[in-house]
Amino acid sequence: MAAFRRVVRSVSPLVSSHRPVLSQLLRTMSLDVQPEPWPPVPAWGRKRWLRAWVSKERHLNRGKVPIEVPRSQKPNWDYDAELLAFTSRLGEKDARQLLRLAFSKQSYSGNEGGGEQCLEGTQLLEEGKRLAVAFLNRVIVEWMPALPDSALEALTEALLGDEALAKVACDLGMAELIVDAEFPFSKSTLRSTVFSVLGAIARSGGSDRAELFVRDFVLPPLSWMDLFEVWSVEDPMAVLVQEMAKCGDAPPETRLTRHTGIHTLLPIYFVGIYR
Amino acid sequence: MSMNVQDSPQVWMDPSSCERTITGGEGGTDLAGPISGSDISCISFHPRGMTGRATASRFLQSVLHNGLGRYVCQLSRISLVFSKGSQTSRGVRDYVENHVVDFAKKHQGTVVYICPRRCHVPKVTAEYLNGGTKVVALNSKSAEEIAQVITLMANQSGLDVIRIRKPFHTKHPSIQGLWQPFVNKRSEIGPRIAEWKGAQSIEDQ
Repeated sequence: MAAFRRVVRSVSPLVSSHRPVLSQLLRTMSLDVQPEPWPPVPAWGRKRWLRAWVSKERHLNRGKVPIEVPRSQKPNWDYDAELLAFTSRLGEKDARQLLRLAFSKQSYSGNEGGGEQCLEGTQLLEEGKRLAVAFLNRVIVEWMPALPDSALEALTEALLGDEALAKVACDLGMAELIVDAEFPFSKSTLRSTVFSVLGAIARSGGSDRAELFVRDFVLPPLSWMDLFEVWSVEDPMAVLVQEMAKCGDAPPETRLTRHTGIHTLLPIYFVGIYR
Repeated sequence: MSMNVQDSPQVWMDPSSCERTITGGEGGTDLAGPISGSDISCISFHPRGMTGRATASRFLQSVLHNGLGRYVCQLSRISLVFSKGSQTSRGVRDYVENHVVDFAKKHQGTVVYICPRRCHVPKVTAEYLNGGTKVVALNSKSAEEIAQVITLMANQSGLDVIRIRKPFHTKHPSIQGLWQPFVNKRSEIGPRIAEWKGAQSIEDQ
């Protein structure tokens, strides 16, 4: 590189007119003294190719999304230690073997021809699902006894939906432990994993432990959830009449309590509903 | 390095012990502790301006509804990368020999990876449950200082440590709802309110 630079300088002295006078003088006298390069070259060399390379890489990679790699393919990953840490995180150290089963998905164990494993995994999933739905229904009815059935169903569905449970799975570190052919995992996979884990906990530690899990990790969003965001009421009056009939009350009476701006584009009517 | 490290099941020792790399997949990625560039959430701290908008900021939030449900330590794993012989790693070696097992016993939900390999700057890499990663250089730190750093990591949530816009946050900023002409007006037909004696006097004010 240095030789190349020397050649270039000797060929075209006019290119770098800012060079110190002494070295120019030495070169014109063709003495055997190497002039100091100007500006000085750092010890690691002047990487003139770097800027061009970076810009070319940027140009080639524009619009590309970086490939996601599962955590297990990155360095420092020991599945047994991670699984043990997961069980101690939840306080379920006895459930290790069952959890290993719960994390290996059907598509993976199917390749190995583990038919029994598949069956048992499915059983865990079903068990966990049944347990979660039953517990949520019981607790919500206990807290809000006057809630109509459709609202209860909507709340349970929202709490056990793909979005909510996928978040739980990611926040507890379940997503890293899943052994599956597909990656990145879909939300439904994460959801079913939560159910399988729940089933495993129920089978090893009893349904009480599993219910504690649901109470601590699945139920909290209920505290800020807006009922009418998850429950779309088609005909509110009909629901009200139905619920009052259940209690043995007469149908409600409606009265127009206030109105304003009737002749404008934005009229307002307030209707009071009385028992 | 020392046998007592391997007693605790969460502490995982690099079997090849020196200069070897730990690889999960095929092809040897030469990485024991540091994480590839795509993992580290980059927050730019360039002094682009003097206003609050120029720096990264976020709202106050918690992870995993911690506080409503049960507490879960968010630190999922730490990797200690240090050299067996270098002077800068002296404190880390002390920490690994005397303190790391206690840490692993206390924080059982955290996996500790010990990676001795030739390096000038020993590092600890913390990975959190929410995917966040934090790397701290430990060169020339004593074992106590390293213990402080690692305890701090264990107590953090893994969310970005950046400016928090307000010390409070709510998902429902307004309970009252949109304004309409009858906001804060007295109800006139309601049977209960008509009987209420104080209503008239309040309206007079």
